[in-house]
Amino acid sequence: MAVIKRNKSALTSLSLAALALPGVMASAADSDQYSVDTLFSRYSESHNRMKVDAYQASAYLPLTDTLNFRVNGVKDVVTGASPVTYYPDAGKAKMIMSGASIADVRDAVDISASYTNNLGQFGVDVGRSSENDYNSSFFNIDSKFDFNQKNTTLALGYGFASDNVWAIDHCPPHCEGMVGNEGKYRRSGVGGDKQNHQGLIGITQLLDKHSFVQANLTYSYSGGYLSDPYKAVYAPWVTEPYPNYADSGFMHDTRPGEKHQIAFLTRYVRHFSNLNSAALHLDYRYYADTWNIGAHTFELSWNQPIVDHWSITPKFRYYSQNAAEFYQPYYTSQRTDGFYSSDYRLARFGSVSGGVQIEKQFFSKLSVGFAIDFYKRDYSYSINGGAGSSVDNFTFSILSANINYKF
Amino acid sequence: MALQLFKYPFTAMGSPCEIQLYAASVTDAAAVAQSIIHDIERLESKYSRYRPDSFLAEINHAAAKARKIAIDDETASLLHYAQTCYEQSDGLFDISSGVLRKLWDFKQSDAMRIPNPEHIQRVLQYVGWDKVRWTSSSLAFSAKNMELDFGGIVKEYAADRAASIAYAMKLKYGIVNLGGDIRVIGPHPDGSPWRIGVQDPRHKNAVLKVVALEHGAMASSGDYERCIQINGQRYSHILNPQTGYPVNYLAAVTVTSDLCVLAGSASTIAMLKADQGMAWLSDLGLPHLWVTVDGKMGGDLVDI
Amino acid sequence: MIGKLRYALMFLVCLTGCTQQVMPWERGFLAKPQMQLDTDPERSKIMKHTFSSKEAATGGYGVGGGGCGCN
Repeated sequence: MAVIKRNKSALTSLSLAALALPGVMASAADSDQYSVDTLFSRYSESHNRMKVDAYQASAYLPLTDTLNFRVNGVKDVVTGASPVTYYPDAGKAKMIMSGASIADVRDAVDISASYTNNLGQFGVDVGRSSENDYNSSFFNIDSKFDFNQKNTTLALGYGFASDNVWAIDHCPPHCEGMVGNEGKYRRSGVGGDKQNHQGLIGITQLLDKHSFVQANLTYSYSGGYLSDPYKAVYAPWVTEPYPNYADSGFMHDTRPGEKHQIAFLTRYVRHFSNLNSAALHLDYRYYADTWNIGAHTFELSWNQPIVDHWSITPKFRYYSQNAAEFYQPYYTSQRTDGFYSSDYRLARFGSVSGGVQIEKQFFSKLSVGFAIDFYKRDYSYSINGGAGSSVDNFTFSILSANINYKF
Repeated sequence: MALQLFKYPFTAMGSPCEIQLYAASVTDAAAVAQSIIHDIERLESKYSRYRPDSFLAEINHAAAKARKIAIDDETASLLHYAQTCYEQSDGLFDISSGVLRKLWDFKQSDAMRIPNPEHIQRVLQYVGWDKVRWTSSSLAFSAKNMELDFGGIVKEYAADRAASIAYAMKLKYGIVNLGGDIRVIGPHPDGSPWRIGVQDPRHKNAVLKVVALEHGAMASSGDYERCIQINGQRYSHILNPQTGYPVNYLAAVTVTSDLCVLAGSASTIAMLKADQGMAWLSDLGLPHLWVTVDGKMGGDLVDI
Repeated sequence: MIGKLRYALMFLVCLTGCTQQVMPWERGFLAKPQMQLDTDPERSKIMKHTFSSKEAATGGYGVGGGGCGCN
């Protein structure tokens, strides 16, 4: 018995050592393959607020062993309603939703190329996203350098996006304060251009043959029209009408024209050989910006291979943020800086989210997966401070299915 | 798109070699063959013991003086592989044993002169993997007059790399033969296997068996034809690094496996284990064929 | 915020102290698909896009991607 056991490990030891020789692989499947990944997801919010069906596809084309391309496309179909503004009712905030249903389709495409030489890995990505009230054109460049026999990797990146934002309405019935031509009526007095610059520096470090960490620091600057052209705030001192919605007492969402933000993300990944090669992923991110928002994000997932190329991955996420300095669900007096926003995304809140994904691989070529995720946002889940309201509590679920094919 | 077969014979590492590739055009095939031959030439000029300007020559200059030398990732990986073979063969597969070669003159197989046992003992002082100190970036020796020889690994390693080059250049069907060390890139386009004749180890021009390989590799160690006679006993020309003498018992071994390096070292280790080689091979679990110095044959490869 | 950045820097310096050098032949486990930072790129894209449409915090994972008029 002992001899047989020893010699099964003889073949394993020799095989592992042989496969570690540079450029040695047992079959073509181990070298870079063309692949196409597709994903469909359905997002639905509670209280029939919003639904988004998203169709994604990505093609990976390894042209040579130093140059490869990726093409990504996504189509989002958005329907439903979302909050426009809030007003006080006996000291509590009440929400006003957008009346008519939103129906919007967003299409985005980007193409990237990546080149590797003995200095490092260099990539460039160019893309465009457009929908009926928003355009974004963007590009980014990234680079990676290995040190320490590839035990340490330094990543540097820069990204730029130039966006146009505007608001549209159905005219008729809402035609006051609209400009434009047939079919494309824009609200006047809101909207504009904005630019965003982003820089990233990151280090990935192997800890041992089972684990590694990554730490990334991102700095971003946005300038231009940073408000939401669809949102309004309750401002009782206003006497001018808010076109198509109110005779007085409301004004446009007005945010500062600049924002600086940083995000510091740390990630840890660990392999467990005695648990059938399960992998633990832990992420923590700290975010802060000059609108005084600070946020903590904590994510955990456990990827567990089970029998026969199946794997199950439960995940958990906790998020907490405090409110922007100028945010209020509704206003009772004017601000000297002139900034006002009741956007629920700038409020103090916390969220808890969990989900599970199941994936099956066939013949190392095809993989199919399903996932379900639930998210609950609640004013009381926050460990941060600032203004907010439980009227903005909501939940959402995402059902998704993916098919990935290598050839 | 119909694929055609292209053949490229050439000489490298002291042996007749051939690459056979299926490709859509002669330009595609020639590009792959050229890349493979280029890599083989690179390995030959880096690790050949016959070239005074090879990296191996630099290593052996350092080994002669017991000095330390810096090494690259590829050399470190080969040393790691050599170490694994040393461990799995109970110290019999030892790439520092090349220095023993000078003692024995295998060119004349009859009237063999046995070296003086004291002379053998003296040279054995310069042999021993335990005297080789290596890390992922450096190589050092704890004794002088040592010598390393990657000859037992590099040809098979080159054959496996040739297959990876073909895969990286999107070629899926073909075969590489480097002086008898064979690695299949892929079967014939219709899925049928390559038919490889295993030479009858006892008769140079006879084919013993035809082995069908759709993927994987085949390598052999030893040569029945080149056995030597000492005091009426037949021995192979492979030297035991612990005794300093040629191994007896097995004359030739052939092994098939997914990788050529694996097949090659398995066949060499089996030879070094002499009368225990056959049991070692059958426990290892790879298909194999063995021939003893007396001409007896066995192993499960014969039955395919 | 400066205090937090100081801790981040200390954490990075600490990394070089508490690590073991991993040799090329020991990377088998790290190369497994479940050990990649992004095990499911398409799903991560939709999740990150969803979270950054509903929350203020964004970024940290990489550069790029365009904006959207998500409400």
